[in-house]
Amino acid sequence: MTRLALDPARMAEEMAEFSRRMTLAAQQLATLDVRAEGCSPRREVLRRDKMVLWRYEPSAPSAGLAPLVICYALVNRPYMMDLQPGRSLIRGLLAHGLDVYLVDWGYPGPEDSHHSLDDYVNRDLGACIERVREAHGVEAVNLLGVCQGGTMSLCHTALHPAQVRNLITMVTPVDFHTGENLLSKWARKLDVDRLVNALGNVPGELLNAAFIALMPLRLTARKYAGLADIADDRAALENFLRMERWIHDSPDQAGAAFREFIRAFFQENRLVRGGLEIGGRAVNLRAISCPILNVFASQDHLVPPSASIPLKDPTASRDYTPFAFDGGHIGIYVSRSAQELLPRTIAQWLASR
Amino acid sequence: MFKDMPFWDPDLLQRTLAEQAKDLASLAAAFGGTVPAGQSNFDALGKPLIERYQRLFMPPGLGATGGPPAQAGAAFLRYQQAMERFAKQANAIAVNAGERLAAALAQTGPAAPPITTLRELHSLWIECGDAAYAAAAHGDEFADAQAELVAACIELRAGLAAP
Repeated sequence: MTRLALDPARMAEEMAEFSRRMTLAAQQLATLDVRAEGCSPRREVLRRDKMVLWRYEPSAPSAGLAPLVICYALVNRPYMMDLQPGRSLIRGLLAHGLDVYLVDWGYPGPEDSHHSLDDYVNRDLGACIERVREAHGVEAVNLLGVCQGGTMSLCHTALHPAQVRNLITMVTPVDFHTGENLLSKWARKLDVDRLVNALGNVPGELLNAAFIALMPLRLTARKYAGLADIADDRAALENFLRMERWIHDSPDQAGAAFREFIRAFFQENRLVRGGLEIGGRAVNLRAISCPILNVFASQDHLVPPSASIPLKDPTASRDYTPFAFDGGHIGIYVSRSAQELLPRTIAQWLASR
Repeated sequence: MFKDMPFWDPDLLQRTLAEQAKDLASLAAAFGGTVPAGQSNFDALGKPLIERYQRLFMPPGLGATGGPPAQAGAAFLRYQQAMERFAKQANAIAVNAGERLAAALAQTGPAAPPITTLRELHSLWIECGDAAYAAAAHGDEFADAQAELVAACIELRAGLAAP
């Protein structure tokens, strides 16, 4: 143990100081009341069941581009895209003159357990895109799909190619069977029929537990120990709490769609292997010929780059741009480096098409 | 929502933050000369890891954390067996984590600077723990055990719900 150079007296001091600061952090956190539903002005333009389509107020002169529809995942809440001033991809996009819409899937209840991928991908996302097309008098929109929402956006674009002018995928799983994809390894063993038949909707807490289980010590022990370092920094504690709230704000998953998604994507990898059907219609990525910007995070533990990168080959697009962000699955939205880089990259890519 | 979030539950918050202080105390005990007789430093560090890993293996939201229900005996037995299977995994991971920590502490050279604080040691302990966990979690036995536990939880839940 040649590296250990711990001094007993200093260890005792460090222990005492750490305990003092953790107590202080607990006291401070108890006084905070952080709301995290997004920070940018917006208005509802469409509501269907639990789904809401939001339109954000412009903050800069229009860039004159087709409107951008952001399709978030069914898992977790979309306010991660607009968490707070200074940590908002949406604010960055607005600052570049883009007209931004966001699809918010809401919180499915027991009455939504039969909501299928067909409902989400064709009916609901289709209704959102239709509303935006009508409002702007355009043939097609720019579609930005995030994580699972990216997979859904790929499916929608393959099924309705005329509606999508340009497609942007962010941290989107395409090939679900690459070696680094731990979540997929676990999901492949899951008896999803038994799970959904027993529960109806799948509890958000269950998915949360699975996500934390990917890197359990870093995502719990290290994170909470870090509170000692910010115990007297109210702004940092608020940031921490806002993020913590988002992490644990996990909607239940509509049973029917969850069953389909686990089986078709995680277990059978049909998006790349073929044979995927949604609503009785074959989903063929070769039907996608629009320009594609594929943004992935090089340190993503949830959707490893190896799962996203294979989008290059299976589509018919002749205008494919991969973009590797040096960060993780969450950092791509909230890290300091992302705030300027990603909106600029997306806006410039769209403007040049 | 927020049911398992420490900051919406003052008691859970206290327990969560106290657990971090306990981790540091375990490290201090392991490397400060107060390890109980018959235990190595790394044995002493295994317990907090095993507790954490086992907690992960109790999926929330499935309602299977109560005591043994008389009306669901077979299902409860299956659940217990599934938990035991995971306990074996957790023990093996903790042992591997200890081996990794020992190896990391034995490293020398510019890439392995001296560790002068408990927080530095804590950070290394976490890296070794997650590395050991990842090595196991990518294996078939782990995925099989996890899938069996979920199935057992569901069966137990159904047993509990039966009249």
